[in-house]
Amino acid sequence: MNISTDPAIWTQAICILAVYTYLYKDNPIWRLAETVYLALATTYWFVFYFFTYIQPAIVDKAIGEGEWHYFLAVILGLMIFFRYIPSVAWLARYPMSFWVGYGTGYILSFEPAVWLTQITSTFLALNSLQNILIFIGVLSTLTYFFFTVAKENPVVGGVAEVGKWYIMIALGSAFGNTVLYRWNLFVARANTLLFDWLGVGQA
Amino acid sequence: MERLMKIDRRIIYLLGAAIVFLTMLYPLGLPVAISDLARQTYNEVENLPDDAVVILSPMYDSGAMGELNPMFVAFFRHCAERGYKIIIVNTQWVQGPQIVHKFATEIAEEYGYVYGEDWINLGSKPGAAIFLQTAVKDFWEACIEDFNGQPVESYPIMQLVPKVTAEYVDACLVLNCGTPGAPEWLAYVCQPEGIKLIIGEIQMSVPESMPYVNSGQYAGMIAGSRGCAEYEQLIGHPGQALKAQDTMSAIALMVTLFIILGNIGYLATRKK
Repeated sequence: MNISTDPAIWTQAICILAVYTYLYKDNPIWRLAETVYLALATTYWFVFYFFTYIQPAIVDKAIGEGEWHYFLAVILGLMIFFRYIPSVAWLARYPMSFWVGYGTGYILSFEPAVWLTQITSTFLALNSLQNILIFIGVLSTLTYFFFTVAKENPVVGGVAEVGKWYIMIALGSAFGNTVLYRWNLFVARANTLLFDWLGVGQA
Repeated sequence: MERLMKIDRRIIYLLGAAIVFLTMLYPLGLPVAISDLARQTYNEVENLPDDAVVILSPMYDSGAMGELNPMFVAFFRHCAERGYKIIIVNTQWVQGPQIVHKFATEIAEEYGYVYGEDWINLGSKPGAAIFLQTAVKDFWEACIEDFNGQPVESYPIMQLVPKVTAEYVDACLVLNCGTPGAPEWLAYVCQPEGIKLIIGEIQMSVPESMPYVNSGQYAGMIAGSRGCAEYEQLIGHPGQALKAQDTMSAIALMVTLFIILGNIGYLATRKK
């Protein structure tokens, strides 16, 4: 065993242990770690956004280079704070509507190509078990979400039931992967504790 | 039987932690079979042209580094072995390029890679989809400066890539853990420009990404920690992921046993 003398490793190890104490129950050590993390993250993101968005747009472009149209975006952005003044709160809807409209247009100009490829990739020759299973899965799952025909209809209800099983298997698979992913994160932290901090197995 | 339904979660955590520490200290050395998907992914990277330029994008932060750092190392090492030019850049995930810089520097030194000529770290850029779209039109304008704050056009490697198009870039290797991630690279860069997209995916999102692999939109995928262990074997450099597989197998067994016990308890109490 060769315990680390690096303050960064010690900080990591102490934080890891402090956070995992929550698994036993809520306690002051956990709350201290949580508060420190939140404070650091908030400060970090504030500084990051200032230097990557606000400074280049306002200080460098608008003021420094005289590109005054940047102020239009600033005004639009600041309008969101009108929501705190009830008499003019409706003005806050303008930046939101602009953002939603812009976002929707942007996505619709790029994303359909991706979706269409996904759709066309389900048009398969039914010459293998996998292709047949995909074909049945697509049709039955779509039927499950087809709400305009009553599920009391035996054909629609039966197909929708198959679709429900497909969805359950997919969700089960996603859940199983999620559980293993979380454990994998713990394995990485255990690696830090055992080998980087305690130096187990090192001369 | 009712007790099976009420096992204290802390017992499960404690048992899990014990299994993790024990299998890490005393590895079992279980064999890891190589899947077709891992082989396909390896071949896609291996068969790029000898003078290929690849973009390696660590689209993650410290929350996912346990699973994605080994994938970054595996991809970087494979590309360095093949002699490809490597450009590290991401958008929005600020910590990504900082986290991987240490590994990249170490592996680059091992292979005699010169910073700015053979590889470069451009850091994290704000903008998500807007950055990606700008990179397609003008990569220098989108990036402006590298990780060290130097103008990107001052580096020889960046002279090779004025735009992120198929003419200049042979593949994008994206390590994915959320949004923005591989789907954004696909929608805004790789599919419109016809650039090969190969991804490293966290275990949790593998089922979500498989349809993109089946449709050919992702040319390959390292599927979680297990997939990375397979990839490490294929490139002949066993790393962190391969070491973790004994532990993950033992944990999977433990979780399965608890699921069975819980279900036995549920079925027994339901009959009452």
